[in-house]
Amino acid sequence: MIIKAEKLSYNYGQLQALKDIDFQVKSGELLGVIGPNGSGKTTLVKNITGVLKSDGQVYFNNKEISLSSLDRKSIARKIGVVPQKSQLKGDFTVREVIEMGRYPHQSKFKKDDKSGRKVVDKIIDKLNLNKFTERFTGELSGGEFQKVLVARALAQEPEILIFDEATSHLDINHSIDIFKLARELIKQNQLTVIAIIHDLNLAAQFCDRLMVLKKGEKVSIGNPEEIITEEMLASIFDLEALIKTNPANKRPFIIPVI
Amino acid sequence: MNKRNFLITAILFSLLILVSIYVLSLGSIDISYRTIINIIGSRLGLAELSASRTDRIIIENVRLPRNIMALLVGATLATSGLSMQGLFQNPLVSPYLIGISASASLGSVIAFTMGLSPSYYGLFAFVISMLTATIIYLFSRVNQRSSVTLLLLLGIGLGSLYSAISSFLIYYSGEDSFQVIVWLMGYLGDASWERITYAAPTIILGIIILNCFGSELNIFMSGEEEAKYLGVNVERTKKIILGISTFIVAISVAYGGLISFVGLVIPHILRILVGNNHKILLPLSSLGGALFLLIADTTARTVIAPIEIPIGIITSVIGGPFFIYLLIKRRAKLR
Repeated sequence: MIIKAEKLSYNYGQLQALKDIDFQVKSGELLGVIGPNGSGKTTLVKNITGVLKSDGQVYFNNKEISLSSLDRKSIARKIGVVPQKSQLKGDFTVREVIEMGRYPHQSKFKKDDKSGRKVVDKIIDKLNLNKFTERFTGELSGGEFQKVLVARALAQEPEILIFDEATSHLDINHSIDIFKLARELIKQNQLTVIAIIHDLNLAAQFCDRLMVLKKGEKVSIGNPEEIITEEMLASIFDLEALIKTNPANKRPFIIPVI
Repeated sequence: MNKRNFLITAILFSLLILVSIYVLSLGSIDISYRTIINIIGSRLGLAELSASRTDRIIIENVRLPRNIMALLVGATLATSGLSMQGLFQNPLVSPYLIGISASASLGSVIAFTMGLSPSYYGLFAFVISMLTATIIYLFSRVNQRSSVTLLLLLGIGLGSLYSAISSFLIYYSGEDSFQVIVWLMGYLGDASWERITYAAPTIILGIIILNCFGSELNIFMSGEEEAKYLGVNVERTKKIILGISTFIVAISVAYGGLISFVGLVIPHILRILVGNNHKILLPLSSLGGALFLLIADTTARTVIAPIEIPIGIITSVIGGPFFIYLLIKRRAKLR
């Protein structure tokens, strides 16, 4: 497996945000993480990227490497994160933003101008961002900008890509675009994706497995067919809903009872 | 670096060289370019010295060291101003805001009150600035990270306390306080080769190091969390940039007194010209700050010669209205 978490726990002062979470992700998998607000999804991202120091351990590549032994640059070469909304201020061109993703491959005495340019050019091609490269990020639509953030994370050449609610404020078309892109990338370069997702239907359609969190605890993990049940929706999300099967891909589909 | 940015850098650099030579000729005694070039040339072993002894002393021992000091101090203030603005993701921050100016003033006023000569003002200013910066930094550390808000607010809080003490000391010492007041308004007239040999190596090294942090400062524009995701060691970067900025500003205050607004105005003008890419903004700020302060200092010593205007007044007269202009523009954007 590419990533394995053991007994992840984290407290914000008195508040316990994560409680003894264990899970593992296989290489090439798309794992969705779902749960109501305040269930610890974003805290989980911060813990597996080492931004917050948790009790418990995170290992990579069949337990060969532990997270605590890596510095920030090494982590950034392993994991790229696409945030829900970038805090980026100021006028940068699309190319400049994507090039920021090369940072973990550079050092004060060694620039990676040539090879880095190649990587960035390839990503720009792959994501169809060619006509945007010299535009300022302020001129882009939400969906276009989010694609640039995916490109920036890919420029880190990570083994694992994390979407931290990366599509939460996008319309349905752009959300689907981003997840189709994720699937395509997984197919092409053995990338592994962990996606925090609010939209349960989106999660059910695109993910190989789903992990359910509630109040900082792992409730269950498994295939969408096993996880998306009427009982789960009632107990975790307090939602009365019917589960149908999407005729196009045989995935479960949620219809809330209103 | 694209063509436009390269052009702006080249223009700024050539302008700096030309202005540096031009202002050597200005002053209460006019000295021709021919004489200036002859003096510099003879020092470099390129020509036979033909200039008069007086001219040579004025150029070599008065104007040249003073101009070099202006270049060094200007580059320091603009570069560290830009670095701190990037670090705090706030275009209105300057090294002076986090209490350095007030602590430097207090230091020099204490030296003055103790009856020490003006050459000690700088030393006291330096020591108290560094002490204050350390206190502020340690105070703002919570859970192994530093809180920007705490850091800025404590700087402002301590700053007002220090100003009150300084004002009291100046008020209390009555009419004798003119000398220290002049120093508080910024004064480069004490520059000498000896002072430059003390100041230049550290200042130049500091500016070069800050210039290496363009990538980090760009990434900081996305906030600290994203910076971590992109691989930046945020706490170490903060420590280095804050430490070096404070250190070289304290040195420049020690040798030039308080010169406000350079750290704010120069980075702003350049941002309007070239955008937010710190890889290009940093070298341009170093050049632009140097050029601006050299012009300001020349104005200070020539405009109503032989009387000198303190340089802080010149920079504030330019900086104040410009700052207000920026606020008006920002207000228009908000509407």
